[in-house]
Amino acid sequence: MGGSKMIPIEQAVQGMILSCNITDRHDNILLPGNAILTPAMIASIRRHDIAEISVAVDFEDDQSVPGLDQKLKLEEKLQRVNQLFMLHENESANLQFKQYLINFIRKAKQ
Amino acid sequence: MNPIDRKELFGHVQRLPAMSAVVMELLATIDQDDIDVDSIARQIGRDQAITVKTLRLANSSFYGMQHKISNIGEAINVLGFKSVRMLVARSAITSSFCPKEAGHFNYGSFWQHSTGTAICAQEIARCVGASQEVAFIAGLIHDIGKLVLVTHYPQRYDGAVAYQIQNNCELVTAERNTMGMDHREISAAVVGHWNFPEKIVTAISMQHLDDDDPSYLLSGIIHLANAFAWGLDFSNEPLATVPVISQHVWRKLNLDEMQCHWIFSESLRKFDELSQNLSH
Repeated sequence: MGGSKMIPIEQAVQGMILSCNITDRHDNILLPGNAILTPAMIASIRRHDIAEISVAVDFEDDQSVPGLDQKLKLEEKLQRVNQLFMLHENESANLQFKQYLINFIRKAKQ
Repeated sequence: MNPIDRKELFGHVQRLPAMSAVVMELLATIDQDDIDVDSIARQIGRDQAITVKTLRLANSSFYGMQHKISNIGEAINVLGFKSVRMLVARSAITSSFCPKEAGHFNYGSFWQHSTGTAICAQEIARCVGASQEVAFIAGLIHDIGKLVLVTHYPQRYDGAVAYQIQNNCELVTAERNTMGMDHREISAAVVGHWNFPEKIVTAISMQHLDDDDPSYLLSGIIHLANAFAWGLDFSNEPLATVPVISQHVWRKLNLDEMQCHWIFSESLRKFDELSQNLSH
Protein backbone atom coordinates (compact mmCIF):
# COMPACT_ATOMS: atom_id res chain seq x y z
CA MET A 1 0.00 0.00 0.00
CA GLY A 2 1.39 3.42 -0.85
CA GLY A 3 1.20 6.94 0.51
CA SER A 4 3.44 9.95 0.85
CA LYS A 5 5.80 11.59 3.26
CA MET A 6 7.66 14.86 3.57
CA ILE A 7 11.42 14.69 3.24
CA PRO A 8 14.06 17.43 3.44
CA ILE A 9 15.30 18.39 -0.01
CA GLU A 10 18.76 17.19 1.04
CA GLN A 11 17.37 13.62 1.13
CA ALA A 12 15.82 13.82 -2.33
CA VAL A 13 17.43 11.48 -4.82
CA GLN A 14 17.03 10.85 -8.49
CA GLY A 15 14.14 8.49 -9.23
CA MET A 16 11.88 9.46 -6.29
CA ILE A 17 8.31 10.23 -7.30
CA LEU A 18 6.62 13.48 -6.23
CA SER A 19 3.31 12.79 -4.49
CA CYS A 20 1.92 16.28 -5.16
CA ASN A 21 2.64 19.40 -7.18
CA ILE A 22 5.54 21.59 -6.17
CA THR A 23 4.59 25.25 -6.39
CA ASP A 24 6.46 28.49 -5.90
CA ARG A 25 5.39 31.29 -3.54
CA HIS A 26 2.95 32.55 -6.18
CA ASP A 27 1.33 29.10 -6.51
CA ASN A 28 2.79 28.56 -9.96
CA ILE A 29 3.39 24.84 -10.53
CA LEU A 30 7.10 24.14 -10.78
CA LEU A 31 6.79 20.36 -10.99
CA PRO A 32 3.67 18.22 -11.20
CA GLY A 33 2.81 15.38 -8.83
CA ASN A 34 3.95 11.95 -10.10
CA ALA A 35 7.06 13.51 -11.67
CA ILE A 36 10.12 11.29 -11.35
CA LEU A 37 12.91 13.37 -9.88
CA THR A 38 16.03 13.93 -11.93
CA PRO A 39 19.22 15.65 -10.72
CA ALA A 40 18.21 18.76 -12.74
CA MET A 41 14.80 18.85 -11.04
CA ILE A 42 16.35 18.50 -7.59
CA ALA A 43 18.75 21.36 -8.37
CA SER A 44 15.84 23.47 -9.60
CA ILE A 45 13.83 22.82 -6.40
CA ARG A 46 16.86 23.89 -4.34
CA ARG A 47 17.20 27.09 -6.37
CA HIS A 48 13.65 27.97 -5.36
CA ASP A 49 14.62 27.63 -1.68
CA ILE A 50 12.10 24.85 -1.11
CA ALA A 51 13.20 23.01 2.04
CA GLU A 52 10.90 19.96 1.96
CA ILE A 53 9.07 17.95 -0.67
CA SER A 54 6.41 15.25 -0.52
CA VAL A 55 7.35 11.95 -2.15
CA ALA A 56 5.54 8.66 -2.64
CA VAL A 57 6.30 5.95 -0.04
CA ASP A 58 5.27 2.39 0.68
CA PHE A 59 3.62 2.13 4.13
CA GLU A 60 4.67 -1.50 4.47
CA ASP A 61 8.27 -0.48 4.20
CA ASP A 62 8.64 3.14 5.07
CA GLN A 63 12.35 3.02 4.24
CA SER A 64 11.64 2.51 0.57
CA VAL A 65 9.60 4.25 -2.06
CA PRO A 66 7.33 1.95 -4.10
CA GLY A 67 8.70 1.23 -7.54
CA LEU A 68 11.71 3.38 -6.72
CA ASP A 69 14.29 0.85 -7.82
CA GLN A 70 12.48 0.24 -11.07
CA LYS A 71 11.84 3.93 -11.72
CA LEU A 72 15.40 4.73 -10.77
CA LYS A 73 16.74 2.11 -13.12
CA LEU A 74 14.46 3.31 -15.90
CA GLU A 75 15.55 6.89 -15.35
CA GLU A 76 19.20 5.85 -15.26
CA LYS A 77 18.82 3.86 -18.46
CA LEU A 78 17.14 6.75 -20.25
CA GLN A 79 19.84 9.15 -19.09
CA ARG A 80 22.49 6.74 -20.35
CA VAL A 81 20.70 6.54 -23.72
CA ASN A 82 20.75 10.35 -23.93
CA GLN A 83 24.45 10.30 -23.18
CA LEU A 84 25.17 7.61 -25.77
CA PHE A 85 23.31 9.49 -28.50
CA MET A 86 24.48 13.00 -27.57
CA LEU A 87 27.21 13.32 -30.20
CA HIS A 88 24.97 12.72 -33.21
CA GLU A 89 21.49 13.28 -31.82
CA ASN A 90 20.35 15.27 -34.84
CA GLU A 91 21.21 12.66 -37.47
CA SER A 92 17.90 11.32 -38.74
CA ALA A 93 18.71 7.58 -38.61
CA ASN A 94 20.20 8.03 -35.14
CA LEU A 95 17.05 9.86 -34.02
CA GLN A 96 14.86 7.02 -35.22
CA PHE A 97 17.07 4.39 -33.61
CA LYS A 98 17.08 6.34 -30.35
CA GLN A 99 13.28 6.59 -30.32
CA TYR A 100 12.94 2.83 -31.03
CA LEU A 101 15.38 2.13 -28.20
CA ILE A 102 13.60 4.39 -25.70
CA ASN A 103 10.25 2.79 -26.57
CA PHE A 104 11.84 -0.63 -26.14
CA ILE A 105 13.29 0.23 -22.72
CA ARG A 106 9.99 1.72 -21.50
CA LYS A 107 8.06 -1.31 -22.77
CA ALA A 108 10.51 -3.72 -21.11
CA LYS A 109 10.08 -1.91 -17.76
CA GLN A 110 6.27 -2.15 -17.77
CA MET B 1 49.74 14.94 -36.85
CA ASN B 2 52.55 12.40 -36.84
CA PRO B 3 51.29 9.49 -38.98
CA ILE B 4 52.12 5.93 -38.06
CA ASP B 5 54.58 4.23 -40.42
CA ARG B 6 52.22 2.09 -42.50
CA LYS B 7 54.94 -0.33 -43.56
CA GLU B 8 55.90 -0.99 -39.96
CA LEU B 9 52.26 -1.39 -38.89
CA PHE B 10 51.39 -3.82 -41.64
CA GLY B 11 54.57 -5.71 -40.76
CA HIS B 12 53.07 -6.24 -37.29
CA VAL B 13 49.90 -7.53 -38.92
CA GLN B 14 51.87 -10.01 -41.03
CA ARG B 15 53.57 -11.36 -37.91
CA LEU B 16 50.27 -12.12 -36.12
CA PRO B 17 49.91 -15.84 -35.34
CA ALA B 18 48.10 -17.86 -37.96
CA MET B 19 44.75 -19.43 -37.19
CA SER B 20 44.71 -23.13 -36.38
CA ALA B 21 43.90 -25.64 -39.12
CA VAL B 22 40.54 -26.42 -37.51
CA VAL B 23 39.51 -22.79 -37.52
CA MET B 24 40.70 -22.20 -41.07
CA GLU B 25 38.72 -25.19 -42.24
CA LEU B 26 35.62 -23.95 -40.44
CA LEU B 27 35.97 -20.45 -41.85
CA ALA B 28 36.53 -21.78 -45.35
CA THR B 29 33.15 -23.51 -45.14
CA ILE B 30 31.33 -20.66 -43.45
CA ASP B 31 29.01 -20.09 -46.39
CA GLN B 32 28.38 -23.75 -47.12
CA ASP B 33 25.72 -26.04 -45.75
CA ASP B 34 26.85 -29.28 -47.43
CA ILE B 35 29.89 -30.00 -45.30
CA ASP B 36 31.21 -33.11 -43.63
CA VAL B 37 30.01 -32.43 -40.09
CA ASP B 38 31.44 -35.67 -38.68
CA SER B 39 34.91 -34.88 -39.96
CA ILE B 40 34.92 -31.36 -38.52
CA ALA B 41 33.42 -32.59 -35.25
CA ARG B 42 36.36 -34.98 -34.91
CA GLN B 43 38.81 -32.14 -35.49
CA ILE B 44 37.11 -29.89 -32.98
CA GLY B 45 37.29 -32.74 -30.48
CA ARG B 46 41.10 -32.58 -30.68
CA ASP B 47 41.12 -28.98 -29.41
CA GLN B 48 40.56 -29.22 -25.67
CA ALA B 49 39.81 -25.53 -24.99
CA ILE B 50 37.20 -25.31 -27.73
CA THR B 51 35.67 -28.63 -26.69
CA VAL B 52 35.28 -27.49 -23.07
CA LYS B 53 33.58 -24.24 -24.06
CA THR B 54 31.25 -25.95 -26.51
CA LEU B 55 30.20 -28.56 -23.95
CA ARG B 56 29.70 -25.87 -21.28
CA LEU B 57 27.30 -24.02 -23.56
CA ALA B 58 25.45 -27.17 -24.61
CA ASN B 59 25.00 -28.05 -20.93
CA SER B 60 23.79 -24.58 -19.93
CA SER B 61 20.32 -24.14 -18.50
CA PHE B 62 19.33 -22.32 -21.68
CA TYR B 63 19.07 -25.56 -23.62
CA GLY B 64 17.35 -27.38 -20.73
CA MET B 65 18.86 -30.78 -21.41
CA GLN B 66 17.82 -33.55 -19.03
CA HIS B 67 21.19 -35.28 -19.19
CA LYS B 68 24.78 -34.16 -19.41
CA ILE B 69 26.21 -33.62 -22.90
CA SER B 70 29.66 -35.13 -22.89
CA ASN B 71 30.92 -35.15 -26.48
CA ILE B 72 31.13 -32.78 -29.43
CA GLY B 73 28.87 -34.86 -31.65
CA GLU B 74 26.04 -34.62 -29.13
CA ALA B 75 26.77 -30.90 -28.57
CA ILE B 76 26.40 -30.30 -32.31
CA ASN B 77 23.02 -32.02 -32.18
CA VAL B 78 21.93 -29.73 -29.33
CA LEU B 79 23.42 -26.43 -30.48
CA GLY B 80 23.36 -26.99 -34.21
CA PHE B 81 26.49 -27.15 -36.32
CA LYS B 82 26.33 -23.49 -37.29
CA SER B 83 26.34 -22.37 -33.64
CA VAL B 84 29.31 -24.61 -32.88
CA ARG B 85 31.14 -23.21 -35.89
CA MET B 86 30.54 -19.67 -34.64
CA LEU B 87 31.72 -20.60 -31.15
CA VAL B 88 34.91 -22.12 -32.48
CA ALA B 89 35.66 -19.06 -34.58
CA ARG B 90 34.98 -16.77 -31.62
CA SER B 91 37.22 -18.76 -29.35
CA ALA B 92 40.07 -18.79 -31.90
CA ILE B 93 39.81 -15.07 -32.63
CA THR B 94 39.62 -13.93 -29.02
CA SER B 95 42.58 -16.08 -28.01
CA SER B 96 44.81 -14.66 -30.76
CA PHE B 97 45.56 -11.55 -28.69
CA CYS B 98 46.82 -11.50 -25.11
CA PRO B 99 44.64 -9.61 -22.63
CA LYS B 100 46.07 -6.17 -22.13
CA GLU B 101 45.02 -3.19 -20.04
CA ALA B 102 46.76 -0.16 -21.51
CA GLY B 103 45.85 3.36 -20.53
CA HIS B 104 42.36 4.06 -21.82
CA PHE B 105 41.92 0.58 -23.32
CA ASN B 106 39.87 -2.05 -21.55
CA TYR B 107 40.20 -5.51 -23.07
CA GLY B 108 37.03 -6.84 -21.41
CA SER B 109 34.91 -3.95 -22.69
CA PHE B 110 36.42 -4.40 -26.13
CA TRP B 111 35.26 -8.01 -26.39
CA GLN B 112 31.88 -7.20 -24.87
CA HIS B 113 31.26 -4.66 -27.60
CA SER B 114 32.61 -6.99 -30.28
CA THR B 115 30.44 -9.87 -29.09
CA GLY B 116 27.41 -7.55 -28.87
CA THR B 117 28.05 -6.37 -32.42
CA ALA B 118 28.37 -9.98 -33.60
CA ILE B 119 25.03 -10.93 -32.06
CA CYS B 120 23.26 -7.79 -33.34
CA ALA B 121 24.71 -8.47 -36.81
CA GLN B 122 23.41 -12.03 -36.65
CA GLU B 123 19.91 -10.83 -35.73
CA ILE B 124 19.89 -8.07 -38.37
CA ALA B 125 21.04 -10.62 -40.95
CA ARG B 126 18.17 -12.87 -39.93
CA CYS B 127 15.71 -10.01 -40.53
CA VAL B 128 17.09 -9.09 -43.95
CA GLY B 129 17.69 -12.64 -45.17
CA ALA B 130 21.51 -12.56 -45.16
CA SER B 131 23.90 -15.21 -43.83
CA GLN B 132 23.73 -15.06 -40.03
CA GLU B 133 27.02 -16.86 -39.54
CA VAL B 134 29.00 -14.58 -41.82
CA ALA B 135 27.41 -11.55 -40.14
CA PHE B 136 28.28 -12.92 -36.68
CA ILE B 137 31.95 -13.46 -37.55
CA ALA B 138 32.26 -10.12 -39.34
CA GLY B 139 30.70 -8.35 -36.35
CA LEU B 140 33.03 -10.11 -33.98
CA ILE B 141 36.17 -8.98 -35.77
CA HIS B 142 35.06 -5.59 -37.06
CA ASP B 143 37.23 -3.71 -34.52
CA ILE B 144 40.17 -6.12 -34.39
CA GLY B 145 42.49 -3.38 -35.70
CA LYS B 146 42.17 -1.65 -32.32
CA LEU B 147 43.99 -4.59 -30.74
CA VAL B 148 46.91 -4.16 -33.16
CA LEU B 149 47.09 -0.47 -32.27
CA VAL B 150 46.87 -1.10 -28.52
CA THR B 151 49.43 -3.90 -28.68
CA HIS B 152 52.04 -2.12 -30.80
CA TYR B 153 51.28 1.59 -30.37
CA PRO B 154 49.74 1.94 -26.89
CA GLN B 155 50.82 5.56 -26.44
CA ARG B 156 49.56 6.57 -29.87
CA TYR B 157 46.25 4.88 -29.11
CA ASP B 158 46.02 6.75 -25.80
CA GLY B 159 46.76 9.94 -27.72
CA ALA B 160 43.86 9.23 -30.07
CA VAL B 161 41.51 8.65 -27.11
CA ALA B 162 42.71 11.88 -25.47
CA TYR B 163 42.01 13.68 -28.77
CA GLN B 164 38.53 12.10 -28.82
CA ILE B 165 37.81 13.40 -25.32
CA GLN B 166 39.16 16.89 -26.02
CA ASN B 167 37.30 17.25 -29.31
CA ASN B 168 34.17 15.29 -28.43
CA CYS B 169 34.39 13.31 -31.64
CA GLU B 170 34.25 9.66 -32.73
CA LEU B 171 37.30 7.47 -32.22
CA VAL B 172 37.82 6.88 -35.96
CA THR B 173 38.02 10.65 -36.49
CA ALA B 174 40.51 10.95 -33.63
CA GLU B 175 42.59 8.09 -35.03
CA ARG B 176 42.73 9.60 -38.51
CA ASN B 177 43.65 13.02 -37.14
CA THR B 178 46.39 11.73 -34.83
CA MET B 179 47.73 8.65 -36.62
CA GLY B 180 46.81 9.13 -40.27
CA MET B 181 44.66 5.99 -40.40
CA ASP B 182 41.81 4.43 -38.47
CA HIS B 183 41.39 1.00 -36.94
CA ARG B 184 38.95 -0.14 -39.65
CA GLU B 185 41.71 -0.18 -42.26
CA ILE B 186 43.90 -2.21 -39.89
CA SER B 187 41.00 -4.57 -39.10
CA ALA B 188 40.61 -5.31 -42.81
CA ALA B 189 44.37 -5.99 -43.08
CA VAL B 190 44.27 -8.42 -40.11
CA VAL B 191 41.29 -10.27 -41.49
CA GLY B 192 42.92 -10.43 -44.92
CA HIS B 193 46.06 -11.85 -43.29
CA TRP B 194 43.93 -14.56 -41.69
CA ASN B 195 42.46 -15.42 -45.12
CA PHE B 196 38.89 -14.69 -44.12
CA PRO B 197 36.38 -14.60 -46.99
CA GLU B 198 36.77 -11.47 -49.13
CA LYS B 199 33.26 -10.22 -48.37
CA ILE B 200 34.13 -10.07 -44.66
CA VAL B 201 37.31 -8.12 -45.43
CA THR B 202 35.31 -5.66 -47.54
CA ALA B 203 32.53 -5.39 -44.96
CA ILE B 204 34.73 -4.48 -42.02
CA SER B 205 36.68 -1.92 -44.01
CA MET B 206 33.30 -0.11 -44.00
CA GLN B 207 33.74 0.90 -47.59
CA HIS B 208 30.85 0.79 -50.06
CA LEU B 209 28.32 1.70 -47.36
CA ASP B 210 26.41 3.80 -49.87
CA ASP B 211 26.58 1.20 -52.63
CA ASP B 212 23.27 -0.47 -53.52
CA ASP B 213 24.95 -3.59 -54.93
CA PRO B 214 23.61 -6.55 -52.91
CA SER B 215 27.15 -7.89 -52.51
CA TYR B 216 27.79 -4.98 -50.14
CA LEU B 217 24.79 -5.77 -47.92
CA LEU B 218 27.13 -7.14 -45.23
CA SER B 219 28.89 -3.75 -44.91
CA GLY B 220 25.55 -2.17 -44.03
CA ILE B 221 24.68 -4.94 -41.57
CA ILE B 222 27.98 -4.50 -39.69
CA HIS B 223 27.66 -0.72 -39.78
CA LEU B 224 24.21 -0.86 -38.19
CA ALA B 225 25.08 -3.70 -35.80
CA ASN B 226 27.99 -1.63 -34.48
CA ALA B 227 25.63 1.29 -33.81
CA PHE B 228 23.05 -1.01 -32.19
CA ALA B 229 25.73 -2.55 -29.97
CA TRP B 230 26.84 0.89 -28.74
CA GLY B 231 23.19 1.89 -28.18
CA LEU B 232 22.49 -1.31 -26.24
CA ASP B 233 25.59 -0.47 -24.20
CA PHE B 234 27.14 -3.93 -24.11
CA SER B 235 30.56 -2.51 -23.27
CA ASN B 236 29.55 -0.11 -20.46
CA GLU B 237 32.39 2.12 -21.65
CA PRO B 238 32.18 5.59 -20.09
CA LEU B 239 33.24 7.15 -23.41
CA ALA B 240 30.84 5.07 -25.49
CA THR B 241 28.90 6.93 -28.13
CA VAL B 242 26.55 5.80 -30.88
CA PRO B 243 28.28 6.67 -34.17
CA VAL B 244 26.52 8.32 -37.09
CA ILE B 245 24.26 5.81 -38.80
CA SER B 246 24.32 6.14 -42.58
CA GLN B 247 20.87 7.21 -43.74
CA HIS B 248 21.48 5.17 -46.88
CA VAL B 249 22.10 1.99 -44.83
CA TRP B 250 19.12 2.70 -42.58
CA ARG B 251 16.83 2.99 -45.60
CA LYS B 252 18.39 0.01 -47.38
CA LEU B 253 17.96 -2.36 -44.44
CA ASN B 254 14.51 -0.88 -43.83
CA LEU B 255 13.91 -2.36 -40.36
CA ASP B 256 10.65 -1.29 -38.76
CA GLU B 257 10.23 -0.64 -35.04
CA MET B 258 8.88 -4.10 -34.31
CA GLN B 259 11.86 -5.76 -36.01
CA CYS B 260 14.25 -3.48 -34.14
CA HIS B 261 12.62 -4.36 -30.80
CA TRP B 262 12.98 -8.01 -31.65
CA ILE B 263 16.65 -7.52 -32.55
CA PHE B 264 17.27 -5.61 -29.28
CA SER B 265 15.53 -8.24 -27.21
CA GLU B 266 17.19 -11.27 -28.86
CA SER B 267 20.61 -9.61 -28.82
CA LEU B 268 20.39 -8.82 -25.10
CA ARG B 269 19.20 -12.34 -24.31
CA LYS B 270 21.88 -14.04 -26.39
CA PHE B 271 24.59 -11.76 -25.05
CA ASP B 272 23.65 -12.71 -21.48
CA GLU B 273 23.61 -16.35 -22.43
CA LEU B 274 27.03 -16.21 -24.06
CA SER B 275 28.50 -14.14 -21.21
CA GLN B 276 27.29 -16.63 -18.62
CA ASN B 277 28.64 -19.64 -20.41
CA LEU B 278 31.79 -18.49 -22.09
CA SER B 279 34.84 -16.61 -21.05
CA HIS B 280 37.14 -15.17 -23.67
